[in-house]
Amino acid sequence: MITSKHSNRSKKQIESLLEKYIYAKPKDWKKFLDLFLLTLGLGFVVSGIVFFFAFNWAELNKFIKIGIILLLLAASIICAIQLRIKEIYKKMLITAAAMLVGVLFAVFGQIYQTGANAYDFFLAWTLFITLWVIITHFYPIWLLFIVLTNVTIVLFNEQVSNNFDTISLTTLLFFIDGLALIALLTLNKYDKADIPLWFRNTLALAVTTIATVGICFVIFDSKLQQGTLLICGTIAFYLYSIRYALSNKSTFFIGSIAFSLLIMINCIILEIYNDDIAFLIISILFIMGVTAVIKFLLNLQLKWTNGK
Amino acid sequence: MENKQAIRDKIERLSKDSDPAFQINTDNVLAEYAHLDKNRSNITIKILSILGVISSVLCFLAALFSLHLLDDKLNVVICGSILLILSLWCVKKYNSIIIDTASITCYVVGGWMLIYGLDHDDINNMLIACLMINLCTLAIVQRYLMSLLNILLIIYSCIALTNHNSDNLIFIALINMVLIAALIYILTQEAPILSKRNLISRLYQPIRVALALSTIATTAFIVLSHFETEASPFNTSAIALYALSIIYSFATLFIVHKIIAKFDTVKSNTQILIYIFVTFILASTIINPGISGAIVLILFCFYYQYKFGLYLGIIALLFFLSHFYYNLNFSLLTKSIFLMLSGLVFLVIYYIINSKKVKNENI
Repeated sequence: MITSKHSNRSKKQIESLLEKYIYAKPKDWKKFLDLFLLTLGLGFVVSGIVFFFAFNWAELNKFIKIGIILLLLAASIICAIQLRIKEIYKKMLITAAAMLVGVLFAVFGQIYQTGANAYDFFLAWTLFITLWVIITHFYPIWLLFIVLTNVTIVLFNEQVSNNFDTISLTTLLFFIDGLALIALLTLNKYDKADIPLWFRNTLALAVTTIATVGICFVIFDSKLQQGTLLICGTIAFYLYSIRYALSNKSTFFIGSIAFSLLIMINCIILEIYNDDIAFLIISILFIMGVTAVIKFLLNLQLKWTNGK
Repeated sequence: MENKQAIRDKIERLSKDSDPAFQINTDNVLAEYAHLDKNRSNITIKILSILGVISSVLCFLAALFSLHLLDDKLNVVICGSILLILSLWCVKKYNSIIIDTASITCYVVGGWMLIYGLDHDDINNMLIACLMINLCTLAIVQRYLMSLLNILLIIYSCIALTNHNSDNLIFIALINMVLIAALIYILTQEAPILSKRNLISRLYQPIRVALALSTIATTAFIVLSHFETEASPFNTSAIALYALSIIYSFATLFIVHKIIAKFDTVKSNTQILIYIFVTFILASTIINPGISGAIVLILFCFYYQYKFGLYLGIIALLFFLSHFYYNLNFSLLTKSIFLMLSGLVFLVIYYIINSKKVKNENI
């Protein structure tokens, strides 16, 4: 497109270049058709089966209900162990089994009306998949595990203990997730783990969000003393993350930290100037802050791509 | 980053089979590549700029409300006009992602204030003002993000005007037909449009994105509105649904014809079978034009390798398929049998195609 813009290339030439280099060729269409038919076919059949069981679910005997899930669970684990398939497929089967553990507990609770708290359900689910998480070393199942751990803690606080207020709870979650991220990044540094970008960024975003929410509560509730641990932890984590981002060329870390800091600063302004003018200052600060961060990131990116 | 030599090599490779009269301004191409490299934004920067724009717009509006600046209409019109002119001047003068972010914030706030200040009682006047402001901006400034916003606002002002003045969905369906026709035209006529080097060719990318987005969003609006009012005795939207489905079906058959033409070896019997199969699928989903609309988008965008449209089409297909099955007036059991049968049909076709392929390879 750029070369066409700055040349006198004719319609025919542009057309032939697009046909030659851009548009789909017969072999692309064959691949597309295979994938399209297979995805639609399998998708429809699987949803049909799910709908079929959903329709008959109420009438099914309790043994059959639990039996179907147990059968699926056993089948996926046996397939993962016995089949001679690629490692990734085996790990995907174990991830599916980990999800089925949750379904099994839910159905069990529904049939026998155990009266357990939702926290018990998540705790059992987390505990029973821990071994698979460690053995498979597969990041989607790690993410499931971390989410389950967080949910269990939140529900435990809500339904059983009730000792933690929002600031303490966010501090606890921040330290658990933050330490997990730092541990994984350190392992990655010594080539003991090959942490994928999506997992690293998701976890970093979660930690940054928890820290931001926690500190906003500290600011608005004026509980500086109670939030000291969270503030110190956040400062340490952000410093570590910036160092990591600079050495690993990650704009994502710097961008999310900068945005988090911007929100915190604006919360402080809102708390101090608690009047109409605060919104005006915040809007100006936001646009200036984001503009400065983008300029900084663009310069950094340019420097990195130039190999400096 | 592509270095200068690599770009020169690329230009040379692309210019190999050109006419003797072919001329290219290499310096301008290099300058544009350098500018793109300098402003190449990854997903972090894009999300950051969007979040920044939204946050500052909201805070600015909150400040205006709380400072009672919106109480006097003249104040609003003057402030809005200043912001609007300032943003356009900045975009015209500077060319960088940072200025774009700040200017779009000013533009949105300024435009909203101007429209609100001119008349906030009559929705028709507000929508016409929005249409005019965006048309003028589009003529003055042609920058990707700003133009995308302008084109989307122009399309949606027209749709909102129609919806505000008539309850009949057929008029919105007509706009939807114009949108899909325009999208097909833009995709199939890429080379002629680019070779003209005029306003439309400069706006090619934002027009393509806006048309793909608005086509699917308008279809979703029509489908959802129809199912919302289905039980009411005043529901007149069925005709709009069928008309849209028929137009999408013709578009699907047209692209299927183009795809078949790419394969020289398809026999006429097989061609007839393909047309019958496609028509059967389209006829069975006639009550939900979203499905045929998503299929049209997927096929056209894959043909012309337009990735954004392709992803949009896939998401839309998933959405409309679930909506279609959810709204079928059958029991869960019948639905499940339908689903399994349609799945089996697709798998059988996959098997037939692949078994033929294996046979051919063996021969």
